[in-house]
Amino acid sequence: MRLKSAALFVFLWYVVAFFTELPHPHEVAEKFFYLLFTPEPVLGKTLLEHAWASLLRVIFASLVAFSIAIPLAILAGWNRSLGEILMPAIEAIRPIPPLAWIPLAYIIFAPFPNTVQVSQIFIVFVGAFFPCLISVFDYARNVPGEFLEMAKVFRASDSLILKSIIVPHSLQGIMTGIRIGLGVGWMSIIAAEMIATSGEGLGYFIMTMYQVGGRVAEIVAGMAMIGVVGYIMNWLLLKAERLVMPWR
Amino acid sequence: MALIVEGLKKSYGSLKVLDGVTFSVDEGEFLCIIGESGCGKTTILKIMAGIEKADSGRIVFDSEGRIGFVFQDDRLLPWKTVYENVMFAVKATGLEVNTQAVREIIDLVGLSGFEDYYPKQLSGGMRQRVGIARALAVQPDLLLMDEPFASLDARTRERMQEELLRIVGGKTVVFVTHSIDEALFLADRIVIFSPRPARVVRTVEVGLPKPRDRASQEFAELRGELYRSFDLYGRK
Repeated sequence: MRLKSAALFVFLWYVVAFFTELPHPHEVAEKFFYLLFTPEPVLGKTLLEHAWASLLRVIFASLVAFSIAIPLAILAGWNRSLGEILMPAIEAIRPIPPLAWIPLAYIIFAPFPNTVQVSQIFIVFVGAFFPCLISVFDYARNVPGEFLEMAKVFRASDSLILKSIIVPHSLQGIMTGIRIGLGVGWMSIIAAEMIATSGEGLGYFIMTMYQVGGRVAEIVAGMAMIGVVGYIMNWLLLKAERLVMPWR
Repeated sequence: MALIVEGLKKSYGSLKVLDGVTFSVDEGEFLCIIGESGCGKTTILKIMAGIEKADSGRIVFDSEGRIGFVFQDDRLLPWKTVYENVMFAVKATGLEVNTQAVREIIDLVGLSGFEDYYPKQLSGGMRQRVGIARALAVQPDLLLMDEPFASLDARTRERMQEELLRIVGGKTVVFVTHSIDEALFLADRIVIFSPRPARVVRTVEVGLPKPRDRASQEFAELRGELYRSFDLYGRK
């Protein structure tokens, strides 16, 4: 089935490429595998190096985002009144796309020597933070009352309830939140890299290839790399869910 | 532990659930409460367990003590193994953590070898055994059981009843059920509740020695009498 789907995709690609500027699949594939390990002359880096640079930014920014979002969401889900204060504010900020924060980020982070880098990290932070927070909150708030009643019958302390019931019940939300947060973070970094000079990174690579004269094969090879990395991240995290939650 | 329940009243909004319920439980007695579904049996247990408050009336215990609770649905934490689920109650109650004692209780309910299984991997009957083990692990002075076998198939249910008597030994037990047969097999004394709002309409001493023979003449006679009483007082 996957093979059929891939074949259909390549076929449609050829059809579209026949009528447009889009490079043919075999040209892109050739460029892609060539640039994977051979530095592209303008920026002097391989595709893998660009991908790694982008990935490092995403991982760092997402880790910061998750380590704030997860505890906050669990507390807000557990403590009704905290949730009622916090969540409307979150809901109001959440629809603002991460990229809309860029100009503001430049101003806020102007005092830093590496304003662009810090701003990019911040954009990814914004992108990763909200999906994770919402996902975890949803689970933490909806812990079945039966479990809590059982815990009360046996006189469990709040800390034991938190550790043995709220957090494990929220684990599905945590895993989903991490997966979606990383996905959004990955999209955000590519876009952020396109807007500002950052020396390396897939978004920067694609934009540079465009600016030096519309080198479509390189551009599409870069896009393919974005897709490959995003797919692998998602796949790895889905695998991790099984390991983290053996009871499912 | 012995206790007296005195004139308990409870309403949820305009819905009157308990209407002055009075009965006593003796030390070491196995007491069954029978009544129609929704008559307030579970509410009584929750008040005894201290997780609900009565509007009026009181429960007088003859001593301080721990309470074990077995739920109708098993209420096992799906992310914890059999062993961890039992251990949860031990930790919650604040008892000293004794690995060996927990293993012995799991063995007592017939689940040795299944300590590391997750609830999802167990049958309904096995999950209820874990629920019983969890309640026993707190070394309860009073064991409250809320229709624990209601969702089991008939054969498993009878086997669990037989084993339950062995497992609980001489503990004080209050066991809620809507099955007359179950009450008759287990109980030293049976309290019949009226339909909601609940009052005690009759108390029956079951004089038969245990273990009881479900096929015996005396069992059948008592069952007939109980059914008549229940039809007379326990139903709408």
